[in-house]
Amino acid sequence: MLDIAFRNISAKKTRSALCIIGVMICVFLIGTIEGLSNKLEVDIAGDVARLSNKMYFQQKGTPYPPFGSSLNESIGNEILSRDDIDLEESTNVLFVVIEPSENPRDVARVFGVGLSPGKEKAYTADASISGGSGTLEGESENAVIVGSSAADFYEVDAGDALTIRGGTCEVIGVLGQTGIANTDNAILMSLFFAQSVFGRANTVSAVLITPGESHSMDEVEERIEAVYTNFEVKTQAEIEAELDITLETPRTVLGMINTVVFIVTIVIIMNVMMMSVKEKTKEIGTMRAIGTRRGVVILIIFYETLILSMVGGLLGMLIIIPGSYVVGISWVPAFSSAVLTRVGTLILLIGVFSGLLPAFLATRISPMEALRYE
Amino acid sequence: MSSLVFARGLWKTYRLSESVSVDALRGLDISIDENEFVSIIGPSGSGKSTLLNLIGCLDTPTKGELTFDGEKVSETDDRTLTRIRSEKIGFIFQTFNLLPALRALDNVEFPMRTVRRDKRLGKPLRKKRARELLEMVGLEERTSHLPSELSGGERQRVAIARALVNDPRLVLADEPTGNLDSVTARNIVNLLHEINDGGKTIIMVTHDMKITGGTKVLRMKDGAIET
Repeated sequence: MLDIAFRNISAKKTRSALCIIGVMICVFLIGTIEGLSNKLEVDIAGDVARLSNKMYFQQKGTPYPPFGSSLNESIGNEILSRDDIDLEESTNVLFVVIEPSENPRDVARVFGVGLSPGKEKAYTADASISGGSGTLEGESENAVIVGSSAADFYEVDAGDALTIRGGTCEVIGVLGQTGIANTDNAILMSLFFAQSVFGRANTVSAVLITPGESHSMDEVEERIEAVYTNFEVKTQAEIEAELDITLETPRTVLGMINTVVFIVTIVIIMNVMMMSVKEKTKEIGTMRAIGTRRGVVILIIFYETLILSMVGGLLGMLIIIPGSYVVGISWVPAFSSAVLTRVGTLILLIGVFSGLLPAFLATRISPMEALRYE
Repeated sequence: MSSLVFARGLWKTYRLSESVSVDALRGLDISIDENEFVSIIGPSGSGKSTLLNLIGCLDTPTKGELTFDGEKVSETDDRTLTRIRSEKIGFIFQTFNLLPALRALDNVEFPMRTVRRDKRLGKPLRKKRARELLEMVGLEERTSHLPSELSGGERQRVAIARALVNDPRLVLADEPTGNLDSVTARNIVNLLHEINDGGKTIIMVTHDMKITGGTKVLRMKDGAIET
């Protein structure tokens, strides 16, 4: 009966084409939103993974990343002098916004991270180096290592000069792309240079702590918080939970948009198919009169809706990436097999659900009534 | 000769509203034997189409008994009626009622695709039979044409081929010449006579007395057969 469904569709070319275009646009929207949701999740997961076995000591009540936190450098140095932390992997850090973000999810389009030279890995974790050097140690005071997105923003490469807030810096290295905004948007510089350029002398935002080898995170956290009551220690799990709460609203909004688009797609196909069933009242009546079972009529209607949704759906999936550039989504969606499977499943559901009502209407057609229908 | 269609005390009442109902058939008795060619004539509203719908298993009577090919069809379910229509009855309509998206050959083949799985022929055999029937009605050159590309007479020939494709016991023709010119109408009636001569029982509803020659004529009036 698949061939009959195809012929019915090709017999109404304009209507079928318009329906397919409608589905295509809806699936493009669904796919883009799914991709953006996935981008959010991947970004957060990468950022959290970067903080494995690390903690931030920061002002109480300030969110992650600790741009809003401020503490005296001497307190940071006290923390760093403790014998239950790994000094090689711990450093004072100063976060400063350089270019504000258009995207509310990102703290900044570009931001500076002041830290002790040689401790860059404590912040960047496994980020690769795409050009130049990966450490500020032994370099001049104004040396900086630039994240991939920040390098694109300023159009600089290793060896170039860069002016930040009137201060001239020397770009000694560029990090490879990680997909994590907190690394890609960062410019790493010495703490001293950051404090002087941004006018934050003797101030740091937080202390990035790695517990000593024989000490657990919980133990170090408990001990520090017992002494410094106006401050808090945020572990990887606490940061993950905090980011999860931050993501609740975008997840809900994106989910709602997707649900609406999903329903609109079903309504589009359902509308087309109901028109088709109405137009084919006589035809369906004839089929029933000459002995076609209700199940066969339903099958033909279902095949038609499935073909329309599949063709529109596949075309919609194909245009997601180029389409997102055309409509100006600078935040390119991230796709994985899981996202594609989810979108594929949604297309299938669209095909099935949109066929239900038209198929039901078709089975209600009495052959006698239909044969009189003009 | 045994009765293919047998009806006794057949009533069909349509309820138009809570208080209004119309008796389309009023206790009708009828017996049609195998291999007969029966013409049912009568004015509009006399109950011809209602009788044809009941014999064709498209509807069930309000009261009375109706038997088709030994099966009591007056009190059976939709599934059984559909099966009987598929396997034992061929329909020819006034407005041809071909499926517009299908070619002539596919229209003729279609009823063979919807019969029960255990009685269904394979695709090559279905195509072969459909082609043979189109040849029989003189349309071997038009097999790949859509209904919209055929004349009225040709469409009715395709419809006749479709009606015969599942080798039915009975062919029902509802005003088969109503939309045709007189020459084409005569050809179609001749074709129906040939089919009857080949062993099929035919019941034809018509207004046109000129085409009833050589058939058993039943006159209907006010929901009953006139004697």
